[in-house]
Amino acid sequence: MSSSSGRYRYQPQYSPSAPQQPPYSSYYQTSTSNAPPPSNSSSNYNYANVSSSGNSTFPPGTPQDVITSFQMVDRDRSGFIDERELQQALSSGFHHFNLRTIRLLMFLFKNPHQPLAVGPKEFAALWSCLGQWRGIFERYDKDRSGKIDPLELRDALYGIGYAVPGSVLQLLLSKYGDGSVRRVELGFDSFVECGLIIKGLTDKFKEKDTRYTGSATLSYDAFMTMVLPFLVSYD
Amino acid sequence: MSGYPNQPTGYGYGYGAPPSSQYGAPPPSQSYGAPPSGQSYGAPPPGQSYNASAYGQPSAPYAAPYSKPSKDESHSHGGGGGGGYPPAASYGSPFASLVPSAFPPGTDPNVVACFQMADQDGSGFIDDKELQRALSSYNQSFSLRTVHLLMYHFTNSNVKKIGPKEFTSLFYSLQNWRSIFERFDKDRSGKIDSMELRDALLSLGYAVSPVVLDLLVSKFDKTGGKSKAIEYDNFIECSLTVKGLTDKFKEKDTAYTGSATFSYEAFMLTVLPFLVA
Repeated sequence: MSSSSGRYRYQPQYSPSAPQQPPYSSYYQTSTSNAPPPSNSSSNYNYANVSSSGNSTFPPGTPQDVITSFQMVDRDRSGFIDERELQQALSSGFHHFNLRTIRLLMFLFKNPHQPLAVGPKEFAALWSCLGQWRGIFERYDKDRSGKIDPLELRDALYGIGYAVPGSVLQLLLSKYGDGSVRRVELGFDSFVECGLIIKGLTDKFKEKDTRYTGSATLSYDAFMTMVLPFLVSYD
Repeated sequence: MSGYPNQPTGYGYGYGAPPSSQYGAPPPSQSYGAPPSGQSYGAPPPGQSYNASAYGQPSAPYAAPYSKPSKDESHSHGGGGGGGYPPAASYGSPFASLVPSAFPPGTDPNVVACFQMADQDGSGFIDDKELQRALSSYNQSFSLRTVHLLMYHFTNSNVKKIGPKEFTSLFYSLQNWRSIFERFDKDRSGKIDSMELRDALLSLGYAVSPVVLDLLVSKFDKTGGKSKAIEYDNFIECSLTVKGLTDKFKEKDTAYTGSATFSYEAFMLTVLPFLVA
């Protein structure tokens, strides 16, 4: 456990060990000792650290297979890949992702100077984020079915520090099943989508909940700009 | 953003003008639903006479910074009954949409015929797939997501079915949206760009900041941001999203201060329906 004031504080470094059951200390943040959620939480929505110029290169130490995956789909060697190419690269590296999840990922990791394409730096950040989500997915997919059920999802989110109320999970999952939420099973891509939405919205909310009261006062504009980034209107 | 009316002092939905002066003092909760449509439809069907005083009013007052919502144009279309919004009626019971409703007497036979055509299994309800097929036959494709948002809007629930009453409102609202879209698509390109969207939203009563406007265009542009413009079906989705989120926000902003306090759970439950539609 780190300092008590860090109850809500985000810990940017990832510690893959430590999914110990956290105390039920609050409504959304369970404990700081857990593996923190993947990717960092900067004040804007660009989870990737983006250089001030539009161009980027792979950060030092990027694994070769990540670079290779990028280069395989960047056939014109432009240094940027579009959503279809990203889908192709991630599908070979992880799992087939539907375009909806791809578009959410692209938006969250985009380079502000090249909002329609992903460069090496964004790609590396995205890849490492997905690697962390995959680690979580595998840890909580206890029966190794390749699918996460609602209880496993709840535990997984709890394990990375988000105690999501049942009502919220139910609403979130209503998207994925026809009717009964209890029978919903999420593949890796839907799991990532859910995770990004919960983590992203919760982190934004926490930024506004400066006194850790569990509620936040938002201006209309802040409210809208918190929510809209997580919307994907087309698939 | 040179064209922004009344430079960014306050975005939102015009708290400047006290709603009561516009609405002949309906309780605040009634003014939230002020629909984009509805203003001109004389004689709402009996089923929708609830708080007709609030719903029948133009939504223009919400757009405080915008003084010319060209009422004349918005009045010129869609003549016929029933622009009222059923969500308000179903707030009381989450199952309101499950109670069979019938077309009120005097309903335009076209509406009834459309409903019966769409109701392929003759259940008396239209489900999401049926609605998608029905809407798409109007020379326009609708994604299931747009359909779900429409259903959420007209039932205020996750029940993916609508009955005659909701269908009637939907029918006229779509006519209204179509005419708004066409009015603001000045170059008849079939798409509206950022400035046109801003004006269209203002005419619906929503003044959004440039940042929000950019987000909306990038999110609802089918090409993923390349064309920086949105098509009709996405315009409907965009309007529903802005209207829905703004109305929910206003419900929490009881003192009309322009900011609202949410608990974490309330916040998530408020916004998720628009993300998971």
